[in-house]
Order: sequence, then structure tokens, then C-alpha cells
Amino acid sequence: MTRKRALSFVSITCLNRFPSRMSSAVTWGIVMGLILAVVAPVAYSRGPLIYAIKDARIVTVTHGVLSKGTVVLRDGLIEAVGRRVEIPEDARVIDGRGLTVYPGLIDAHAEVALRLPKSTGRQPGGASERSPRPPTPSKRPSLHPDRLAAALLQADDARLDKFHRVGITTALTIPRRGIFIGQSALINLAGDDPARMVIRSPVAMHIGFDRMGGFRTFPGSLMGVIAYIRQTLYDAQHYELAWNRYRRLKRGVRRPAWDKALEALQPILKREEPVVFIANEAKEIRRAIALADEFHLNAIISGASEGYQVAALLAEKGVPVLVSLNFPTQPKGADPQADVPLRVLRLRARAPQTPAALYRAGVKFAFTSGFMDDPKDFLANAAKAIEAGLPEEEAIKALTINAAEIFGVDEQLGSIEVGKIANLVVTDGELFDEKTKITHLFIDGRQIELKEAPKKPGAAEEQPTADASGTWELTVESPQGPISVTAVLEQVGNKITGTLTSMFGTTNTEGAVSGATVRFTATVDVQGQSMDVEFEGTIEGNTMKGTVSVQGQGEFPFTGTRPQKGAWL
Amino acid sequence: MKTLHRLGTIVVGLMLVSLAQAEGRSSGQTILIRNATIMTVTKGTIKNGSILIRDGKIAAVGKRVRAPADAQVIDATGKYVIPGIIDCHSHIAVDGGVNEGSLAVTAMVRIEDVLDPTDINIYRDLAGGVTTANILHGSANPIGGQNAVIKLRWGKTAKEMLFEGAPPGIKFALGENPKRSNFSPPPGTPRRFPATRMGVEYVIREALTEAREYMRKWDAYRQKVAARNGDRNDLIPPKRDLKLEALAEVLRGERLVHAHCYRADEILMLIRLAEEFGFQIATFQHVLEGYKVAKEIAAHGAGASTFSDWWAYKVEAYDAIPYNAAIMTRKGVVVSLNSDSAELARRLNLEAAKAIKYGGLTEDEALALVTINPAKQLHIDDRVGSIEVGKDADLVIFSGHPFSVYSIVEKVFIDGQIYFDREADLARRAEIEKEKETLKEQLKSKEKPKKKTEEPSEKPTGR
Amino acid sequence: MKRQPIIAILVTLMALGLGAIGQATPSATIVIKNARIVPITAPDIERGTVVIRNGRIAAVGAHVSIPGRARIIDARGLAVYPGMIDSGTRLGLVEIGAVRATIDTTELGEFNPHMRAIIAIHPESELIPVARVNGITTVVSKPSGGIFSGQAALINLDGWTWEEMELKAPVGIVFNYPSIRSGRFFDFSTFQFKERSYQKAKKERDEKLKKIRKLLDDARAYAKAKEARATDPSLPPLKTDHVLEALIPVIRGEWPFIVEANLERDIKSAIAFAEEQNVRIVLSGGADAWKVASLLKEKNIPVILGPILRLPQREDEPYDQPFTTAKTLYEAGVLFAFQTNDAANVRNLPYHAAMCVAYGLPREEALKALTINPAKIWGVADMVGSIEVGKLANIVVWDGDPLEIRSQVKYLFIKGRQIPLTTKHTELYERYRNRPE
Repeated sequence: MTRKRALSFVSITCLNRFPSRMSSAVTWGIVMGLILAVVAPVAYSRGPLIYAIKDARIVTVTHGVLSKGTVVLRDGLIEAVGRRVEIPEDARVIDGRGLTVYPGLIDAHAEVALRLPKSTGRQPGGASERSPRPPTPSKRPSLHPDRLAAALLQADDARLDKFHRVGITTALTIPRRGIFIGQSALINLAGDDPARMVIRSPVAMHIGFDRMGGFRTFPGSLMGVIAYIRQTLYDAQHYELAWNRYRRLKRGVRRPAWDKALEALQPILKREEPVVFIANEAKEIRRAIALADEFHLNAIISGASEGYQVAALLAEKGVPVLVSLNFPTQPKGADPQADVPLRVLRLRARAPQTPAALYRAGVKFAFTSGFMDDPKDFLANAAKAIEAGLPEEEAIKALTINAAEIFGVDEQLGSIEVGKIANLVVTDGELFDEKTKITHLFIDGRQIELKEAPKKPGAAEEQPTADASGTWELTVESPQGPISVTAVLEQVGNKITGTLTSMFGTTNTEGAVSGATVRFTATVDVQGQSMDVEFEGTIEGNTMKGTVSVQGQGEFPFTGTRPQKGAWL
Repeated sequence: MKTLHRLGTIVVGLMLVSLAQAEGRSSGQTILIRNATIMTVTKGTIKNGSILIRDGKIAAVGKRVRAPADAQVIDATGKYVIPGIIDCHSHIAVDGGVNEGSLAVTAMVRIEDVLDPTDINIYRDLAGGVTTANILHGSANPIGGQNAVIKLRWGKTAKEMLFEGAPPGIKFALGENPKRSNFSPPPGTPRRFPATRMGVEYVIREALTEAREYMRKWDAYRQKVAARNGDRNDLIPPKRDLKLEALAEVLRGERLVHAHCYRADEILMLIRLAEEFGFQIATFQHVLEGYKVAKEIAAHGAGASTFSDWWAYKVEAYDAIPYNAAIMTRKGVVVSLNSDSAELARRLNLEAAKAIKYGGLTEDEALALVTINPAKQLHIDDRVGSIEVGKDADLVIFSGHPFSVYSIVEKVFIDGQIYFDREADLARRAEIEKEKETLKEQLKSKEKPKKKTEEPSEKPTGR
Repeated sequence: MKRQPIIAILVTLMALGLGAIGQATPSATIVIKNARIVPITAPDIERGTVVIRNGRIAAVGAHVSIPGRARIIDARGLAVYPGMIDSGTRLGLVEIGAVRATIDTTELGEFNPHMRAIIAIHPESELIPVARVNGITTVVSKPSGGIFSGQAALINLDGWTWEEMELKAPVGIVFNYPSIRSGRFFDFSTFQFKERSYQKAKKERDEKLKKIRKLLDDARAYAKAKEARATDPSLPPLKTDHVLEALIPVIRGEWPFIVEANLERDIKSAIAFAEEQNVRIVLSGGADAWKVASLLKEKNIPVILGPILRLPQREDEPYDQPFTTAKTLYEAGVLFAFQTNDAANVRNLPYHAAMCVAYGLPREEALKALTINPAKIWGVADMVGSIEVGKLANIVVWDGDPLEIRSQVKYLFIKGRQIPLTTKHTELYERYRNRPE
């Protein structure tokens, strides 16, 4: 609960006094009550929340573009917008000349600001030694329709910076993997209190097609997953019948068993809540739509890289689409000489055409970061969609009002209108111009400090003031408990090379030292997954502490000591 | 197209009389394949014969077939035409695993849900003359999932590939695979039940018993509803169970059982078990020792879908003989030869020729092994499997005799449409390479080098 | 598993029975007359005679005088071909693919150049008669696995012992050329899919090559030290190293490496490696050989192509690519032969070749690649591969074209001994077709 990278302007020391194993509620209570202002996960400006951006170009989205106007924000809401707006006396004034104001951008599907539950994926499902029968209900794998993303929020996700840097103020968040994954929350990507981040919850049920584990756990195949989804939805339908009957008769009928999962599925069967299916290829989209049709679900497709092939179908079915801007590309580590099939090349070349195709077909769509760990290509890829034929104003809508409409929050979000939530992005140029910089970002009326992306290892600009050489015993506080890592490092100039040894084996590492800050990266093989890890720490004498970011897993604190400096040399 | 109306002539051939249907549902193309050696399978071989295709169906077959003036004419002089080959055991075009091997009974899973219309093996098998394939669940469990019969309509969607009206089916499996003799469980996991042939029988018996009880529950419910004149007040139906529903269909004879098996004892076991539960096995698959119990299989009325000559890859295949198809045929079993392999499916015509070499079947009997017999086994012989008027125009043109190793497939028709044409394939090769180069250049120039982004699910290269 | 001893006993009994059926001893003289003769290395003889004596071909021609006291086979309407050679099999080393106890192809460890296939050949394998009754009289039986799998053996498919079966052993050391295997793969040790990056895979490959180079360097040093001791007995004795010992004939160019490689990249790398190390190689597998045909020709590297009946290597490759590779090699002038890379299905060897004919390889070239080409590649062209006087009488009498499936073998001779055409399969066939109704 205390995983937090040290920020230059806040002290982290208070937090470190609390045992890291303390329950989250207690920790949160203390954090909220006592040191809220000190340990701000996101860097805010402080003071009264009254701003006026004057003389700026304002892209309202819903009411055209004001070439020169003023926006006033007060206490988290847009108080005024227009060409001739009086600037309140108590407002901080931002000179908007040369700047453009947009509504805050919405990432329509992400896995962000979440404490990931331990077992979103594999779980014992019930391949039983003794019995040929399927898993018992208590062992239903990956069945978490009752899980609320809103209840998993963590305000101090270090990745928020990365979203802010591209103007994303709001995201639909939900764990990525699983089958019945849970219900998403639409959140503002800043806030001290997770509870204050939520704009709407639940927004949608999320159903994925992730298999559980080959021959070990049902469902181990894609057809097993689909059969499982189908059976579960039938179970939910029957559950409702049984309870309705019981509620009606009351006497003389045995009471049905209460079931939190089947209970949670009722809103989607009644079409009160939509279902988001992750589907990229045309065949996957067709499968998801067929499943939705079978149960009359309100479907939303997320991903849709091959959506250009099925735009007409999506239009016919009235299915909104959350288009991933994480367009398929040659994966890192791919064999450069491998013959990439035409089918895949076409997908890579044409995926950016999906938004234009959906627009032409009349499909409502919004953009998502598509689970990019760092969504830095978010706007650049939206620009690719424009290049592929999407009108620019439609691209802006897909980043703002469309998502708000799809998620039923268009009264609160998605445009610059009086009374809406004060989420704004201020730029020094056109949003999709690659030279454009974001100058200001407001979330809930608070200005967010934009932090530069960290420099890559090896590009350290400061002269090293510390020597990292030696054998370090590091302890990483992972959610699964502490992990010991032995780092054998050798520093030459500001460059580091060496090895990391842990329960995952030994791998090579390299990095750099800048001042007393040391950064080194490695690729670790964790249970079959190749993961990039990056250590960033500060050396003080023979101790090192900092954070380690693990690709796709978030950041964790680590501490370490160097028992014998240079013994390795 | 209007000229179709003028066509109403009865064409009399020496060997067969065929009626060209006069009422012109004037959609679809009219094609005449002429001057071919036509191996009809069910009605002998016609030398210098013609086939008229209209509206996707075979409209006329014979020595002399009159075609409308606007028919597209394909001259097949010196060539052979056979019905589209039917592969009664295939695993192509399946996404996300052909086995739901986690449980011993997975009757609820459906191949139909996960068909992959982009699998290149569809095209490769099509290029070998296969027009229909029975896509089966794997053999990891005594009762596997539901199969899908497809036509290899390359380029169409998964749904469009389904063989309309083909009866549903399900995979059973006996012997070494379901008991996992040749498969060590992943470290740290318990072995899955069953581990013996005894256990396999018990698992099937248990599942069928459960299905029977499930049927009773539903019957009782329906009776109650009927007794109340349809007034359902206070009544709710029993919970639907997709696994038991599929097995209930088996018990009612509405779902075809395709049972993977090897040894004579297990074949006999399943015959007796099915008889006990009052249904018939549609096909025994592999059934490599079928020749040992051919008369029992014939008496039960099951079909047998086997390999021509694969053997010795495991203990239960050690007594396999290439004479299997011939012996079973002679003992009255409807036999087919299948591929179980995207590769072998490309040359099932030659597999059929082996039944002539090993056991001396006639040409018609041998060709039936990959055409009308599998059609019968899948209960689609009213639509496909032979060249007869009224049947689907699923046809293969070979450069020579289909049993000669030197013959190659030149054209394949499904529903009267050309889905494979060797000339067109040869012509397209350079285009594919060119498009790939163009796309690669385009992608290279667009993608500035950047950090890893996640790839959406894409198949590895080389498929 | 309880069945196995019983199987073993049955196998033995049946095999003994078969042995006893042998109708002619090699010393008898056999005359096959009135046959169409396809000698391969000479023009076909429309109607001629072949005389077999002492296990060898004593005479062949249209006008051959028929010796007295000979057994005469009137082969009117039949055709005489040399026995076919499968240049890559596991015959005699594997009985039942799924039963570990019956598999002797793969020793533990990466470097086993000293493992000898010949001494592990099981003469009573039921798979052997099944292969030979379709006209395959000689095969290369090779070990597999690791990097240097072991020494391949060329055997005739008849003999009471492996010594009697041996035609030439070894014919080379099987070398699984390390490949760069990146991407998703299934790890059987952990039962999970894993992902390996190209960079990592390449590094692993390069490290393997480094190890191989070092081993060959060691072998050279070992050979030198051994030579020195041959000339100077006063030097202290050299500790025997069987691994290095086995590599000496390779570094001397006496045995080739049988390089298993299919991808263009690996084939090119293997060719460069062979040049650098100055060793002889025979390319085996060679699925991408069509991409490097001119290089193979230029470097004079023979290719053991196959299996042919396989799917294309890549999604976009022409559907018939595996069938046209042989034609490309032929047109480039590359010396090639065929292999099934199989054990139970070796009998289908001619159909691998036939598929190449269907897709453009001249039929006579396919026949050569089944007979004289492999004989040349393995250095036994003086003994087998054609019907010529003096060669071993590995002769098959067909009722038609051996490449056509419907053709049947009528007579079969290996080293002049007439082989009964019965197998486990024919026996089961006879038994069960006659099962009472």
C-alpha cells in the first residue's frame, strides 16, 4: 500500500514509518487523515481551485470552436465558458494566448489506478482426480462479475503521470485479464481519495476470453471459455426465475441459494448494464456479437483492430466500439527474418483505418489506450487514424464526448460546457500535431503538474556522485511478499553492467548512474513471461532504495544493502 | 439467365438419365463442365461426359448434356471429375485449442463457437480437393465437445462455412488418449480421472446416466405444464445444463456420436454401452482394430472412419493394418478414410487408392471411402458425396485419374462456385509477394522505432 | 504395459517363422526373365533377363544366356527395378512411437557423435518387413536429438543380425544444426507457453555454435596429439576421449555431417560453417532448399529431401511448395535423394517422390533420387542403386510403376535372397478376413 516513487517535492519519509503490511483500510485512514497534503500521489498545485484561462482557443466539442475565449473553473466544475466571460476576482489567471483548450481526454478502456486482485487469471478450477463431474459452483474459475473496479482503486498509481502526459484525464478502468472480469469504473485520473476519483460505477460488465490453463483447469480452451460464459449466463437466468418465484410464493417453496456472481449478472441480462467484450480480429468480433445476441446483451466491443472488416455488422447491430489506439505492430523481440504473413501485414497496415471505417458506417466509437503500459503513442496513433481518413473533429469526439455518451456521462463530461466536470487539456497547438506540447492539465478543476518522461538508462545527464559497483542484496516488496534479488553491478563511468539473481534465475542487466540515482534494467523470465523490469534507486553509502517497475505489473518499492563493497571486483 | 427457361430438355446418356431441372431459379451461375471422365461414385463412371451446374446444384450429368447459351463452359478433355472429397475427421480451422481437456466430460463445448475462417489450412486442404470437413474436438477426454461440419468456403466467415442442416455431433474418445497413457501430467498436478479403459467406460456410463436423469426432470416439468394446460404459474423449468443437454440429444438419437477408438475391445464396449442406452454410434473414428470386430460394427450399424495405413505410433495402433478399410467394407460396414491432419487431407484421393492396393476394393468402392461414405456417416449424403442431379455442385477436377500419383487437382467447386483454381493460384503468387513488399515498406516508413506495444492476438508465422 | 512381454514373445516367434520361410539361399542362382528391366543407370530394357548369383547381379540384358540349375522366374508383364533407398529413417531404432522402451534414437546430452545407430538396430522389428515389401530394400537409420545425435547407419532390410544388415556404417554423423527459435513456444517442463525474443534466441544459437566450434577444435588437437604419438611412441599415452575420437573422421573429411536444417537461414549458416571448419556435409530435411539451390550446387552439397508430404513452412508459401522443391533442385543440378524421416511409414517412400513428379520433377529423376543418387551420396554406388552386374542383388519385381500406389510387388530380393512378402499386416489380414461370420 505504500508503493510510491519518491517525488522530488514531497517527503516520503512519513509514509515509511508505517509498516507496509498494515491493512489498507488502516493505512488509508492514516494517510487520508494526517498526511494527505504531504503525500500527494499526483502533483497538484495547492490553494483555491479557481482558475480562468483567458484569450485561448477553445474547442468545446459540442458547441464549436471559440477562436478566442475564456474558461472559468471553480471548485471542480466549469463555471463559465465563452467569448466574453468576466474573470472572477478570486481566480488564478492563465494567459491563454497561443494556447488551445480541449476537454480532458478519455481513455475508454484501460487497466489503471487499480490494485490488481491476486488471481485475475489462473485459479484452481476443478480438473478433479476423482470425479468426472465439472467444477462445483464454489470453484467456478474467473467468475467475478460482482467485482467492482471502483473498489480496487488506488490513487497512487505511478503510471498516472504517463496518462497525464498525453492529456488523458479520465479512464474506464478494469482489470484486463479474465473471463467474468468484473464491472468497470469511469474515473478521473487524479485524486487523493480513490472514492473521489469515481465518476460512475459500475459502467459496464467486462467479459474476456482468457483461457485458464491448458489441460489443468476448466476452461482450458477458447471453446471451453465460451461454453462457460454461456452456461453461467443460463445459470443467471435460472437464478432470477428461482428467486422471482420464491419472492412471489414465499411459503411452501425452498429458498434458493444466494449467489453473488449470479446476482451481479442480472443487470446485463436485463440490459440495464452493457457488456464490454475484448475482441480484435473480425472473427473475434463476430463471436462476441453472436454471444451477445444469444442473450440479448447490450454489447460494446473493445479493441477492434480489424474493425474495418466488420463495420457494417457493427452498425447494423448498433454496437458501440472502443477502438484501441494500440495498433498492432511488429512485436519487440520478433525475428526480423521471419516471414510475416500477408494477413498480419494487412492487419498492421489497415488497423488505423478502423476508426474511419466505423465513422463512415455510422458506428459510435471512442478511443482507448489499448492497455499500453505507457500510452505515449496515444495521440500519435490517433493522428494515424486521421491520416487514414478519420475527420479530425471526429477524432476529438472519439477522445471526449463519444466515450462520455457510450458510458452515459455526457451530462458531466466530454465537452467544455458550463456545469461539467472541469477536466481540461491545454496545448500550444493542434492536439494531433506531433510538435504540440501539453502545457496545462486540469482534473476536477485542479491543475496537475506534468512530469517529463524519465530518461532512458545510459542517457544520464548528471555526473555520477555514487559508485554502484559491488554486490547488492535487494529486497523488493511485491504484493506476493518480499522478493530477494542479488544485484552484482559494475560501474564504469556512468554506465552499469552486471547480473541480477532472484528466484526467477539470473539475467544480465545494464543501466546508468546519474548523480546518486541509479537505474538499471533487465528482462526477467517470470513463470514463462518475459518481463522488463527497471530498478530506479538512490544510493546512500552502502544502502540503496527506490522503486522497481515491472512491465505490466506496476511499481514496487525496494531497499537494499551492499555488505561488501566491491567484493565482486 | 433468361435462357434458362428454354432449357427443359431431357438428356439421355448411355449410362444414366438425368433430368435438367427446367424451373429456373435464375440466381447463380450456370457452368458446364464438358468432355470429362466423370466418376459419379454412385452411378458409375462416364467417359466424355458433361456436368451442368446451376444455382449451386448439379443440374444435369451425362454423356450429352445441353447447356444454355450463356453457360460458362469449362473444357475438361482428358480430365477427371469426382465429387468433392469429404474428410470425416479434421482439426483445421479451430482457434484456441481443439481439446477442452480439463475435465473428463466436456459435452458443452462447441467447435462451432471457435471456427477460424482464416486458417490457411482450409485453403491447403481445399487445394487437395476437400470440400467438406468434419471438424472434431480432440480426444483428450471420454466425452469431448461438439463437432462442426463445414464446407471449405475459403474467404467466407465462420458462420458461412457451416454445412447448413448437417446434424449435430459430438466426440467420444476411448483408449490411450482419454486415459492419458502417453501423456504425463504437468508437474504438480494430480492425474485426471480416468486412467484405465474401465474408467473410460464408467465415465461415459455416468455421464449418460446423468443425462437420462436430466431428461426425466425436463419431462416431469413439461408434464406438469401440460397438466395445467400450459399455466406455468409457480412452475419454473429445471436449470439448463449445456453438457447434459448435448448428451440428452445423444440419447434421443439427435446428435451423432463420433467415437475415437483403436482396440477391438473398446469398440465392442461402446457398441454394447450404446445399445444399453438405446442409441447408435454414428462413426467409430480411427477404429484401427475395426477389422477384428467388423461384423459387430456392421450389426450395430455404425460407420467406421479410419486411416489408410498409419500404424505403430502407439501400442493401441500396433495391430493396425492397411487392409482395415477393405475388410470392414467387405463385412458390410460403411467405411471412410479420414485425414486427422491438415497435411494428409490434401491427398485423400491417394489414401483411397491404398484401399485398392491393400485388400482389393474396386475403384468405386475406394472412391466412396472419401466421398459418399463419409457423407453417409455425417448424414449429409442427400446433399453431397456423389455426382447426381440435385446434389450440391461440390466437384473436383483432376488433371488425370484421381488414383494416380501423377494427377493434380486443378479446380474445386463448392456450391457451383470455384473456390480453388490452380491457374489462378499460380497467377496470384507474384501478387501476394508484391503486396507483402509494398506493405512492409509502408509499415517501415510509418513506424518510427519505438518501445514495445502489445500485439493483439495474432497467430505466429509459418502456419 | 503388461502386454509388452507377450508382444515381444509374439514378435520373436513370428519373426523366427518368417526367417524359416526364406525360400532361397543367397548361393542359389535365380533368373528373372521376360521382364521389363529398369536398370536406372542404363536405358530400360523392354524385355530382358536378370541373373542373380551369390547374392549379386551376375548378368543383365536383353540377351542373356540362362544358366542351368537356376530357379527361373517368368516375369512376363512385370517390371524389374532396383530396390529403393530411404535416405533417412528410424527403422530398427523405434518400434512403437509412444513407448519409450522401444525407442533407441535419442541419447541424453547434446554431443553424442560416438553413438552408433548400427549396433542398436533391432533386426526383428515388425516395421522392417512392412517397409521392404513395398520395394524399399535399403535405408539410412539415424539417431536424433541433441546437437550431434550420433552415427547413422546404412542397412539392408534383411539379415539375422545387425551385422548382416549393415551395408555401410557409419555414413555420417547427424548434426542438428542449431536454429534461432524465437517467439511463442510450449515449454513441456513447466507446461506453459513461453515467449523467447529473437535476440535471446540468437544468443543461445550463437553460444551453441561456439560450443560446436570448440569441440571441433578440440578434436583437431586430439587428432594431432594422436598422430604425434603414432610417430613418436615415447610421448606419454593419450587419454582416450570417445567423443573426440568419433569426430576425427569428420575433421578429416572421411565422414560427412548429416546436417538437419530446414530454414534458409540455417542452411546458409550451415554451409558457411562447413566451409569454415573444412568439413563435408550432406543437407537433410532441406525444406527451404529451393531458396538456396544455386548455392547448394556451387558448394556441391547433396541434399536428402524430405519428408515431401508435409505442409508448407510458412502461411503464404505456395500450397504445393514442398512438392516442387525437388524440381528446383534438379533444375539447379543439385544431387538429391529422398527420405521419409519415419519408421512405420517408410513403405510410403515412393509416394513422396511421386508427389514431386506430379508437380514437375521428371519421373526418371525421381527414380534416380530413390536409387542411384542416394547410393552415390552415401558412397555405395558400387554396391547398390541400380541393376548392374556386380552389384548386390537388391531387386524388386513390380506389376506396374513403383511410384503408383496401386502397383504391387511380386518378388523381392535383398542381397540375392528372396524375401517372403508376408508381414505382420498380411498375417493379421489373413487371420481376420477369415474370421467366421
